[in-house]
Amino acid sequence: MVSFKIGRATQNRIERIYLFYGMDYFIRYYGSKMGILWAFLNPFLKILIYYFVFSYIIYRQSNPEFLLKLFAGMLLWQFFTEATSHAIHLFNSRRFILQNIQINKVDFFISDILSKFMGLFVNILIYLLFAFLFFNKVYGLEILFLPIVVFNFLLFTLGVMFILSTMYIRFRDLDHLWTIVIMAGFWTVPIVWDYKIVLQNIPQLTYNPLMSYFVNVQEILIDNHLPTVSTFLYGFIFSVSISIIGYFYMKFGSRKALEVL
Amino acid sequence: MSNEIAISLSNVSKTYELSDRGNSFRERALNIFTSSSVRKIQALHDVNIQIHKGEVFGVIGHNGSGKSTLLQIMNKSIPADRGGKVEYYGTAIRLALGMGFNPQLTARQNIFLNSSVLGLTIREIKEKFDEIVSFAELEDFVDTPVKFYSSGMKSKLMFSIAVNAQADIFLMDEFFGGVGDINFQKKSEELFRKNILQNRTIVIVSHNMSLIKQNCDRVLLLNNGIPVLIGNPEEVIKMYQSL
Repeated sequence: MVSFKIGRATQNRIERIYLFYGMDYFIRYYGSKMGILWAFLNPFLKILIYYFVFSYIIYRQSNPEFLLKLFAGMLLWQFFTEATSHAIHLFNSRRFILQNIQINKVDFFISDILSKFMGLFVNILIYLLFAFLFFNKVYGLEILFLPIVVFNFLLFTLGVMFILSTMYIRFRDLDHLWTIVIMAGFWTVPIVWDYKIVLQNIPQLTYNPLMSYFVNVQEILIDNHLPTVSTFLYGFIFSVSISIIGYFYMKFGSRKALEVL
Repeated sequence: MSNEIAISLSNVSKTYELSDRGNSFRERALNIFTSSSVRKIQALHDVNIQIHKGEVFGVIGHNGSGKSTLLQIMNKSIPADRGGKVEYYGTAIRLALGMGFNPQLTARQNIFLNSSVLGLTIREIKEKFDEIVSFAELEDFVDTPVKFYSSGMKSKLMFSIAVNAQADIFLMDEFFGGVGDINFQKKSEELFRKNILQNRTIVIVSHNMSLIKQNCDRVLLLNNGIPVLIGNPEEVIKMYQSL
């Protein structure tokens, strides 16, 4: 019989990431009677508000397909917003450990992004169920590309998290600025607008690396086809480079984190 | 005490840089046309120490002499200036009054987190859990968030975790003085007397000279960041009192 055994150090590291993941989860919903329900209710309520505003106030015509697009876009955006906004204060919120015991800082980021990813993962499952039940959407082989695109998006988000947490050491008002960036960024990705129309008028928007992940996900989930190779590659190059740059920036830029914070 | 080195510091200096450029976008934008000045405070000057495994090493000096900075550098939570080299072997934990916990989490959760960071597996933590709690005398408060703990209770818990998780190096920053509790102090003194902490390397920063005298093998005296003397406790304490 083949037995699979991991080294003690690896086991300890995986467990540590799991414990930090659990801690983040607990703190987020601590004291809230609705608890975890809020995590799922929050994006749905937002989707309903946008659907109502765009379908009944702005365009005055309801388009059921629009609801699916909103859903798909909001899932990704919610994840990106939560993960990056939370990462800004990561060193501060983990200083209780950093001050006393040596730890690989990357573990904080991995556990943090995993805890946010769980929300995204469950929301994607709900989306698939929703699309099947109300829109009779059935997916073929293209759905196999969804995990790859989502992984790219995760890697990009991780890179941004590295950069933001380290920038915060020098710029303590970064969270105010980031709120504005997030607010503006929402309109630069295809959540409430159709990329097929808007990109023809404003092709510059394709330079936004986030765009590629949103377009790829919509191609798979809404249009039922494989992601366009050029868009996918653009996103892939960005996710790899931003995560590598972010990692080294964090590694060297956060050396003085404790004494400066 | 063995001949093996547990902590080695060579050419360690530490300079804190205080810049008046500000640490926000707003301040930097406002000061963009004004020249900025950086004030340098040298907290440590060229410290060279080798602490052996199992040694109890004391650090004394007046307030602001660089004792806490030295401990944080040993712990690698803050970096030494360029050229300085800090090495330690094994797991090190810094123990300071009331520190080291996430206040929102319960003692149980904090025990798991801290012990895991110190290198224990979840299984080992479960096995040692009761021991950790009973040593810290906190049986009735295991599921209470740590924010409701007094700083003495937090310190007891941290010490208990460090002892039971078998950290190799204890860096104690004015630790025992703050716990205060007679029962716990007795227990901790017993740890020293009965050699339960044998083979653990302990660095004690304290103003309590009797604690230093009774327990330390060697003592370092710091004055304004300069290492004045390393030697046996009595000799160094005498020097300290004459400063």
